[in-house]
Parts: sequence; C-alpha cells; structure tokens
Amino acid sequence: MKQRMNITKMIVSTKIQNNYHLINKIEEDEFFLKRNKIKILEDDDLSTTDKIWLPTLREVKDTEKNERLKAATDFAVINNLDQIYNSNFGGMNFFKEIENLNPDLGVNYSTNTYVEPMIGTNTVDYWTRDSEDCDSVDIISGNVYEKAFKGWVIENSFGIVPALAIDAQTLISEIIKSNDDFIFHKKANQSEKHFLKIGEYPQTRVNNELNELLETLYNDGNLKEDLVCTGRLFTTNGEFKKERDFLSKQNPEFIYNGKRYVRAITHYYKSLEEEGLNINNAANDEVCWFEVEPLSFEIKNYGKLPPQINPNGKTENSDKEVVLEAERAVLSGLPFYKSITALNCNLWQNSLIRCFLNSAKRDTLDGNEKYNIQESWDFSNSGFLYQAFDLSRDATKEYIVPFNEKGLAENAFAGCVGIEKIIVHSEIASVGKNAFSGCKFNYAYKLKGDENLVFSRELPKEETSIVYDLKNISKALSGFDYSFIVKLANKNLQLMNSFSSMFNSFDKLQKSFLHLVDVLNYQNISLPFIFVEKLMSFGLLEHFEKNCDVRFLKSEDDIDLTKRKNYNNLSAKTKLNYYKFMYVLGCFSREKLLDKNGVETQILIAQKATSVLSQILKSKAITISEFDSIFDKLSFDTKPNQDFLKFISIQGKNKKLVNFELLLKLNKAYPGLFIEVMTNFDKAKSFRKTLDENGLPKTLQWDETFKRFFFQKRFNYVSQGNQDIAEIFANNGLDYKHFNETVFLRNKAKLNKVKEHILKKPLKEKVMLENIENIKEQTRNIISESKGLIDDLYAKYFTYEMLSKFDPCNSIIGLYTSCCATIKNTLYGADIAAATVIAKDVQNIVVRNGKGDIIAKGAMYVNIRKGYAVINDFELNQNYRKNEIERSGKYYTETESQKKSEYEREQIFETFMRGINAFVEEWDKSHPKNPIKQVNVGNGYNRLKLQCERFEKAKSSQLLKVPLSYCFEDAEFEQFILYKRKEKESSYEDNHKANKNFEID
Amino acid sequence: MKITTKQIKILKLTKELETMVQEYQSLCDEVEELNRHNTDVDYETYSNIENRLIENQEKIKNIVKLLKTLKDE
Repeated sequence: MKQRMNITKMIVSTKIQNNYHLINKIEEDEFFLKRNKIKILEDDDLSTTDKIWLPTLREVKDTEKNERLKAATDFAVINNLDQIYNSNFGGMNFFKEIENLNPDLGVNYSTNTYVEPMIGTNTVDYWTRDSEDCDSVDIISGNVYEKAFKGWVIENSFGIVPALAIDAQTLISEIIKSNDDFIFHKKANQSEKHFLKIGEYPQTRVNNELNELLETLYNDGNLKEDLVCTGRLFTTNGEFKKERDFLSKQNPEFIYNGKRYVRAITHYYKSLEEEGLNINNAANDEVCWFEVEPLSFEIKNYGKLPPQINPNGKTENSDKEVVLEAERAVLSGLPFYKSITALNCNLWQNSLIRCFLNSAKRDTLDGNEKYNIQESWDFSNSGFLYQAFDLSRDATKEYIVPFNEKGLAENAFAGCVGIEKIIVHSEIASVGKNAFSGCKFNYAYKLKGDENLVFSRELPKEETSIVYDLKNISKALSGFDYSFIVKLANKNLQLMNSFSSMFNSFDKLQKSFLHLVDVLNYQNISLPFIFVEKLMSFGLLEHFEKNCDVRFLKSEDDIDLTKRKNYNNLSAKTKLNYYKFMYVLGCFSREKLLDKNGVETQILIAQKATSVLSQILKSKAITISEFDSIFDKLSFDTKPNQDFLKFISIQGKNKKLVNFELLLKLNKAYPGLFIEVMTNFDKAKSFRKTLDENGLPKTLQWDETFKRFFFQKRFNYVSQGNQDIAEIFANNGLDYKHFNETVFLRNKAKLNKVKEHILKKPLKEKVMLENIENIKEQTRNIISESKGLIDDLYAKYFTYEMLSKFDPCNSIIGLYTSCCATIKNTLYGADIAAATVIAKDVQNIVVRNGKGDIIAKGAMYVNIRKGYAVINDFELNQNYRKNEIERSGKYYTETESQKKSEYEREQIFETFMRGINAFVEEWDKSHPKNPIKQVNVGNGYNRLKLQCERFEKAKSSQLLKVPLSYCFEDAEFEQFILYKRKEKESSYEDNHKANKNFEID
Repeated sequence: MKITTKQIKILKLTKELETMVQEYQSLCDEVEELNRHNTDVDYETYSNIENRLIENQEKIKNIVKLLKTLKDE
C-alpha cells in the first residue's frame, strides 16, 4: 500500500500541472490577499486575516437581479443543499436537467448539472456574510428578492459561494509564463463575464454508467486493479441535524484512467414525499462518485484590471487585486453558526463557515474581541482552503478525531481505504451508522495508560490494555460494524441502556461478546451481526453464548444464510427475521427432545429444528424474503416449543408439510396468526376440543381451531353475535380497539332501536351468478366449458346494495373504497362511518363487483319528513380509478385509451343510478303520502365527478341540508341533482335510453 | 357499443341460458318419467323428447357462442 501511495502521488502532481493552472502553495501571502477593514457593524470596523470569505449583501445588491443567481455543483447538492420542490412539475429525477422552468413561479431548484446562472433557471439559495441589519444574516434566494433570516444561522441547507482576492501582479506573471488562455469569457444577455480557474474540488457527479463502474471497482473497499486510492480526503459536515456542532465526514479520492474522483454518500435535507408523488431520485445513503475539477471563479473587477489581464484595461489607477467569486455554490451543509441562542452568532467573525473556508483553528482567526465567541474548531488539516488549493498535500494515513468532535458522523470514514490508522478519543458519545464502512482494519486496541481507541492494520509495539481482533470478529459476525467496538471500548452509556440491565457491567458484556465470537469461529459458523445485536438488546446474549449449539447449521446446506451467494443482497430485516425464526424454532437449543411419554431422548431440539427448517426451505412453501413480512413481529422472548416443532414437521402426500402450509395459508387471510400460534401453541391447541349446539364434545379441524384462537386472542371476547365482525376485522389486520368500537356501535344502534334498513326491508340487486351456477350444474357437459366465460363477463357486472347498517363493513368501508370513511380515521370520514351505523336516517349505498367485493359507496342521508335524500359523494376503490392526477378526483378521458380505461367508472355510476331509482321506487310505495322528491349528490371529493356533472347543478341557495353532526362535508357547497320527482322519468333515463329492440340472433 | 346495451345483452343471454337449462331439466325429468313407464311409451314419444333435447342443446350452444363474442369485445 505504501508503495502504491508513492506512485499515486507522482501521478497526481504531474497530471495536474499539465492540465490547468493551479496554485500549489497557500503559504504564498502575496498571492492570496488578506482582506482588511471589512465593515460588519455600523460603527465598528473589523480587521481580518481571512483568505477566503463569502460575498456581502452589498456586493450582491450592486449586481443586476438576474446576475445574482447561482447554480450549485452536484457535490454541494448532496451535502445537504435545500431542495424546494414544486409539485406541479411531478416527480423529478434528481440527476436530470430541468429545462424551461419559469423562475417567476418562485421555484428554486438545486441541480447537479451545470446551468448558466444568467439563464435564470435552477438556482440555489446561498449565504452572504452579513445583513442590512445587525441582528441577522442574509441569503440570496432566487433572482427577484433577498430574504433576511433572523435567527436562521443554524440552517445548514444553503449553498456556500467562496470569494477571495489574489494579487494582480502575481497573476500577470502566471499569465506570461503560461502558453494557454488563462482567462476565459462568457457572453450572456447583453453582458460578458470573465472567469479564471484555480484550485480544485469534487464537483460534477459522473454519469450512471461510470458511477456503477467505479463502485464495482471499489468493490466494498477491496479495490480492483484499475482503481487507485490517493489517500487524500475532502471533508464535509456529517452532522445534518440543526443546532448541532460540526462532525467531520471524510470523502476519499481515487484515480481511475488518469482522472481523479471522490466517493461520497448522499444525504438530502428534505424528504421529498409531498402529495403522494412518485419521486425518482438518488435516495439517502446512495453512493455517488464526483469528478475532481478545477474551480471556476468569476473576476468581479475585470473592468478595473490592467491590460496584461484585461486587454481593454488601463494601467493607470488599475486595481492591484483581482477579486474573485465562485461561479457556483461549491459546498453546503454548514450552518452559519451552530446555535441560535448565542449572542453575536450572526457575525462573520464567529461563523463556522469562516473557520472552515479558511482551514483555520478558531483561535487563530481574529475579530473584534468584544463580539467574540470562543470555539474549539480546528480545520487546519481539513478545511476548504487546504483541500481545494494545496495540491501537494500528503495522503492522510493517520487520522486523529478532533477532540472537540464528540461523535462520529454517519459514513464518517466510509470508503477511506487509504487511512491506516484512526485514533478515536474516549469522549466520543455517538457513532453514526456505517461510520467505518469499507475501512480495513485488523485490530482495535488501547495502549496501556491511554484511553484513546486506535483502529489499525497492525498491532503496536507498545503494551496494550485491550485488543480486539477485528478480523476474527468480522469472520464470526457477518456485517459486523466497527462502531460497536467504539461504543464498547468507550463504555458508551447509550450502549449500556440499550443492551439492558442484564449486564451489570461493560466487562461482562464484552466477555460474553468475545466468547461468542470464539465459539462461532471454533465451529466455523457465521451469524449476522444484526441478529446478535438484537440478542444483546433483549439481554439474551449471555444465555445464548453459554447455551447455544450452532453445530447443526453445518449439517444442512441450505439453512445457513451467510453461505448463500445472494446473502449480501438480502435486506438487514430479512436476515434478522430469518435468524429470529430459527432462534424461536429452536435451531440453537441444547435442550433435548421429549418422547411421547415425556421422557428425554438423546436428540437435541437444535438437531430436529434445523432438519425441519431445511425441509421447509426445500419444499419452497415459503421464500426467504417472506420471512421478513411474516415474522417481523415475532418476539425473542418465546421459548422453542417441541409440540409446535413436531406439528409443523408433519408431512402429507408428496412430502408436503401440510400443517406448516396450513398456517401460512391462514396467515395470508389473517395476518399475524402464524406468530400467535407459534408463540402460544399450547393455548391454541386447547381450542380444538369444544362443545356443539347440543352440548356434546366435538373436535374442530385445525384451521377452525386456529381461527377461533386467533380471534379470541386478537379481540378478547368474541361471541356468536359478533363472530362476523371478528372474521372481517382479522382479515383486515385490525386490532381489538377497532373491534370493540364496532361492536359498541352496533350494540348502541340496536339499543336505540335503529332499524337495519331505512326502507325497513333489505334491498339488494339479485346476483345472477347463482342462477348461472345452477344452470352450469344442471346443464353439465355443454355449459361446463362456458363457466370461465361467464365468470369473465360477470367480473365486469356490478350490482348495487343498500348495505345493512349492522354489516361490520360500514365502520371500515374506507378500506374497500380507498377513502377516509373508517372509524380509525382522524378526519370527518370517521363521523360518516359512525353515522351509517347509529344514525337512523343514514345508510350506505354500495356497489359490488362480480366477485361480491364492495368497490364503491355513497353515504346517503334521507330526510324523512321533507322527503329528500343527499349522498355525500361517491367513493371508489383505487383499482377502478385510472387517469387521475389530482386529489380532487378529476380525471381525463381525452385519448381513446383513456376513454377505454374509464369504461368501468361509467358502469359503476350506472349501477348507483339503478340503486337510487330502486330506492326511490320502494320508498314511494311504502310512503305514498311522503314520496322522495329529490336526490342530490355532493361534489367535494366525488370520484364520479364527470358523470355527476352531466346533471343539473343545484343552486347554492337551494342546497339540500344534512345535519351537521353527520359531517357530509363533500355536499356542503356544491350538489348535483340526480333525481327530481317533477319529471316522470328520472334524469338517468333521459341520459341513458336502453335499447329495447335488441334481439338474439 | 354503448355501455348499457352491452350490459343488457349480457343480462338477456344469461336469462336465455337459464331458460334453456330449465327446459333441459324438464326434459330430463320427462325422460326419467318415461323410463319409469317404459313399456307403455312408443318410439315417437322418445324421439320427440330427443329432438327437443337436441334443439335445447343447440340453443344453449348458441347462447354460449354469443357470450364468447361479448367477451371478446
């Protein structure tokens, strides 16, 4: 590795100097000018030693509005740059150019691709270093206005645009020495701008193809031939929460094909989950590779420079410095200051950004003493100035975590394969996930008398107080994370709390942990670290490592997941749940099986359980990924049950595991049933013996047994009278609270003598399938072939029904019709759902498909005294809602394919109209003196808007009223008249005349 | 084709099929009744029932054919 480093360094220095002009030494003060006398406050001048700074508000205001715009580099974007997202433009592929965006919409995007700021699209907000008032700091936002953010100093989501000044004469000598064009020019609008490239930084994300290639060559830290690690790092802020101090995150540099790239892990400021949009972008924790490129700076005072720089310039009175401002925001993720409560937190002299940009130790930066805030930041080896401009800097082989940093950020050293030693001090209180991902250390140790924890490839010569063999641990525990060692070695309080009080001391925890590693390595078995972590968190580690028997994992090829080729592709949850199932099943248990008489045999439960598991996997009754969903809630507290093990090992015809498959089938219908039976098998079994109606003993089938047990367990008290509710609710994965509430609603309705139907009798359109089934049965040979045919035609046949108020589906109808009408909802839908049960004058009219499923509904209020009805709106299962793009329910049928796909919506509406007419007819028969005069429907979130809007709209002064307590909010402001008694025939008939002359050929 | 027309067609065809099946069942009952009194039943009566069964079967086949056409639309 050392040899490689030397070669690498050579390549770096040669290549770079050939490509563009760079400044190699930042110590040359005559080149980088220090800014003097910056006015921060009205009556106080400030002397400063800054070499790099941010633009002031005044400087920005002096430019044209559209020239204030800045795009950002991709590297800046992934480091926490704010994305303000406009939902009118749909989902955005983050790494795609956005064209023709109207900035007047007030939309500000950050973008990874370079965009000419002058065009005025795709801009980012960026910091200035001051404000017009004394209390805040300003940002530039968009091209039309500035904002003053009082107290927003803690924001870490704005861009950073570095500015500096260089000595004009030194620049002139560089120009003379060089053969190439040093300054380049761009025209935009009516003006011309002038740019210079100095320094370098990771900027543009490579394309997807190269990204994938580089990541393949990176190979999880085991670099393949063509990729070389330079050992150089680019530091960013790994702390994404606000009001927290800086935490270093190192982004390592590599060489491929003569070019240099930086590997970084993404983190976005906002979770882009608005309006249910489907967002296709790089998610958090995605690896992105960025090219290291020269930094482009605009020469702000080009017009005042001498002719050696500006051919049209004058020598007399020309500027002695060249004022530069970065063309784009090159960084983000840094707050102006870490705390909002500190006095003078808005002053540039105290800013974290200032310290970082200048690669300084805080106490070396000057300022007005009166306003100083003492901080311990030290960016001398990691800040922007150092990393962007010192190209001769060495590879970082040894890294010492700064003492002022009290945590390790997520991905702090991810990919830093060039670092040979990391020294972590004992004050580290938190370790972010994947902090050491890709790092290859062999040991972690503490020297005697030293509390620092050292990660290293080699053991030291000095005496140590503790050594952790990381290779051994990683071998025994797949996916092992070094962060655990940090917590263990530092006796981290958080670790203690999460790993329960079963361990009285860290020493005990450590001992158990290391003993388990030895056991596993001795047996040449590996367990997922995530599983062992869980055992620790439940206080089971000690018992496990003392009593586990892992031998039998070797006896069956397929059950050891860590040996599978696709193991790394499995999610952490799948691995955990699979091993959890193994644990509860008994695959590690040293206990002995009992025979029929309860006498111990010589066979261990572990042996039997691993054999059964192997049979389960071979039978393909369940896939590995299904362990995730079925056993996610399985508790570690459960002890292996021998009877359950024997029960699921029973084989039927063709060696099928009939009982195991039965449980899987029941679990599909009643999610959670498998776990309940597995963890309470003795109780579940007891439901098998029961009494029939005559009080005589009877034995239930296993499926009925488990169902009854499950309902009882889930809903506490299930009787004959509410068995139907239990069945349906278990099917929908609902819990006892919903069950109890629905039972209460139905009992309340019965107590108040609310009739089951407003019409006082059922009204349900006859399902003809039954007749057809009769015909098929009867007509045997000929019509048996037509069975499938009829089913297909019938699936599109919808029927209406006035749903019985005592039907359990009323209180959860929203689950069927994809709306808020469920009693567990926090919106008005819950009130409507309750009213359809307990209110004597509200009932649901529903539409079922050919399979009998409810797919649409309208809650109908009937004003008996005045003789009218109001339907709140029509709700529709989302499988029947195509071409919708707005939440209001509007959908489009412009193209032929859109019309075709909305065919079913028309049919469903026709069905509702049949139902309404049938209701009116039946009502009028039984209430001749008080017939229904009008039926309106609300148009709020109506899913059959297009159909309803064909009818007459009720005038706003004549809207039909509904009692407020029913919360018919969709019918509050707009209603359409579906039926009016004045016309003999209903509007339905007028609009849709049937073909009465149809004849069969 | 209009929405309601198709629905009405489906309804009519399935009702026709139902009628045909009932007719078929009646015919089967008739045959059973005839079989019970077979010594007294002449050929013509059996033939008549057979023709009616065939005719019934043809009608059922026709209906199934029409249902297939509707399905393919």
